[in-house]
Amino acid sequence: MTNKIKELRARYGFTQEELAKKVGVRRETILFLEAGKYNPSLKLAHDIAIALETTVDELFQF
Amino acid sequence: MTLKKFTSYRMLAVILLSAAVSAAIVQQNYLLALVAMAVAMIALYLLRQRVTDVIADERDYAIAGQASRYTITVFSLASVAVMFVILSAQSDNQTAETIAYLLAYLVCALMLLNSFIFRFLSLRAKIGRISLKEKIKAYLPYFLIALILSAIIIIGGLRFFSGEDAWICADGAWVRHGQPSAPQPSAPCQ
Repeated sequence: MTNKIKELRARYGFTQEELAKKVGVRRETILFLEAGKYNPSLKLAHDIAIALETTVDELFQF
Repeated sequence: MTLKKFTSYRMLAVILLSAAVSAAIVQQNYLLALVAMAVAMIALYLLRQRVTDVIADERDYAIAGQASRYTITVFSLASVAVMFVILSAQSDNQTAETIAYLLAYLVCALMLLNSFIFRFLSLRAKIGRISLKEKIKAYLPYFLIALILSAIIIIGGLRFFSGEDAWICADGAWVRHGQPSAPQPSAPCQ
């Protein structure tokens, strides 16, 4: 599974720390997500999509 | 409070607790150890409430679950292996036999507890929001099982460690007390 978290985060000018705070996780989790080394829960995927003003479908490619 | 600051306080609490437990063991004052542990737990709980950062998230919980599974497996296998080694190498040593049975007993207790907690959490996730009456009805069998298991563990533990079946040294001679499984100790009775 690939994702556009890094790309969209850069577009909105968020740091990993800021995005992590917005969705209630630790910075390391965002790091692992961006590297494609962690599959998030549906809730976290949804929260990140909301924070980055997109949809889960747009954010994650299966 | 930041997570970094909380981690520093936690390390300080562990150091102080270790010092208190060491002092308690030296002075043979076990109440001091219990009080120190209770104070440390309460202090850490109160500090944790003040942390504004995320202490652990879903990834940490997933890893923690995996770590728990591996810990149980490694502990169980190692304990059973050590038990067999002790029993085969020190078959007539009563202390070694006690340690071996204690390990076997701990593995059984750990597995039972793990299975019980798993079932309980699984049930809690399944029933979700229901009335108190229905909750009591759903949890009652688990409560009864927990009660029976606790009774077995306490009675078994008391029976096992009470020294009912042992060789007792009295007036320079080994005296059989109860039905000890080990033969009479070869060490001189002094």
